Amino acid sequence: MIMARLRVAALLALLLPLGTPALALDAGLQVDGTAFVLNTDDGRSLHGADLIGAELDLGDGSTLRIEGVRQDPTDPSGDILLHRLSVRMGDGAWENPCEAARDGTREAFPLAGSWDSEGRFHAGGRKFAISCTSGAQAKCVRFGYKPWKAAADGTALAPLYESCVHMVRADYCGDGKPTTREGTMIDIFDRHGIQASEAGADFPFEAGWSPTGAVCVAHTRIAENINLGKLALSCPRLKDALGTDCNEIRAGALGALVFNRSR
Amino acid sequence: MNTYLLPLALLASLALSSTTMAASTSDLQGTNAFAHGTGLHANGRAFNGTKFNGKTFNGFGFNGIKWNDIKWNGARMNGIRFNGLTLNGKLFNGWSLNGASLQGQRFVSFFDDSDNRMTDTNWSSIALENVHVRLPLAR
Repeated sequence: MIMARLRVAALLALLLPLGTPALALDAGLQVDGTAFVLNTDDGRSLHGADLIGAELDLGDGSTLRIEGVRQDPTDPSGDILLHRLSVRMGDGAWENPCEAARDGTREAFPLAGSWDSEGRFHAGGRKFAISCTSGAQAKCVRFGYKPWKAAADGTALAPLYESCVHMVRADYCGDGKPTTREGTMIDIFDRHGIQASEAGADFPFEAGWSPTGAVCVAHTRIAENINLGKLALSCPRLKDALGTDCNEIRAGALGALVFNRSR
Repeated sequence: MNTYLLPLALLASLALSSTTMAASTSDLQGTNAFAHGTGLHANGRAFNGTKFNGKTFNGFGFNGIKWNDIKWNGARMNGIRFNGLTLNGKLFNGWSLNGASLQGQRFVSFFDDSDNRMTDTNWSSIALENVHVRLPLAR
C-alpha cells in the first residue's frame, strides 16, 4: 500500500511543472498571532512570509493560496501580518476573496480561536478564523485589540477583542445579528490605553460593550435598522438598560470593556 | 501524515468535494426574496443552521469574505458578491435561483456592509487538523 502511494506521489510530482506547489504537509500548522506557522517533517519552521506560494486546503472544499505577506503599516508594533490571499474558484481561476476595506487593502490574516453560531469567540483551541481587513474581526485587531496579547496594564485583550467585534457590527444583543451600515463612523475608546475617544459632542455616547454584546445602549447606531423600542423587544435583557441613562460610567459599572460614540 | 500520502488525500478530497457539490438543500425551494431583520431570512425562515450543499450556514459571517464555491440549489455562486453592489433597496439582477430568474427581484434590506454581509462562516472556525498545506517545490 505504501509503495502504491509512493508511486502516485512520484507520478504527480513528475507531472507538476517546476514551481507548482507540490510538497504537501498537514501536520504542524499553527497560527501565531496573525501568522501561519508550519513545522515541517524535516524540522524547519516556516513563518509568515516563508509561506508565500503555499496552498491551504481548508477542509471545507476551499483552497487558499498565500500570494503575499507584509507587515501592517498601520501597526507600529509590527505584530500584524497582512496576507494577500486568493481562493480557487470552481473554474480553476484564482481570485482574491477579500472585499476592499476603507483603506483600500484587500488582505487578510488568520487568528487563533473561533467564532460560533451564537456570535461568541472561543480563544485558543485547535481552530482559527481568517478575516479580511474589511471584516469586523480584522478591524478590531487593527484597532489594537489583539486577542493573543495583553494590554500594558496586564489586562488580557481577548475579551476586549470580542467586545469590539460586537461593537463594530452594532450587534447589541451579542447574538451575531448586526445592525450597522457601511461607512458609518464610530468613535471607540476603552480604559486600558488601547483606544482613546477622539470625537466631540457631535458624537454622543452610543453604548458600552462586553464580550456578550452591549451592556447598555443610549441610542442605536442606525435607527432605520433598529430603534430602542425594537431593541427592547428583540433583546429583553437590555430592556432596562436603554436610553440616555446609558453613559460611560453606567456602562463601566455594568461590565463594559469598550465604549463607542456615534452620530 | 507523511508527505507522500497527501496526493492521495488530495484526490480523495476532490472526490468528496464533488459529492458535496452535487447535493442540494430543499429548504430554500421557492425562495425568491430575502429580508434582513433579526438575521438573514428567506421567506421568513432563518437561514441559521440551513445546509447549503452540506455546509451549515450559521447566520452572518463577519470576516469580510465573499461567498465563493457555494452552490445554492444548483445555482453556483462563485464570484457573486454581496458587496459593493449596494443591495439595499436596489435591484439585483443577473442570476437565478431554482431555475427562476431573480431579475427584477428587490432585495429590500440586504445590508451592504462587510460587517453585516453573510459569508462562508466556515472560515470563522477552521480546524487546524483539517487543513492540508502544499508548499512550492522550492521550499
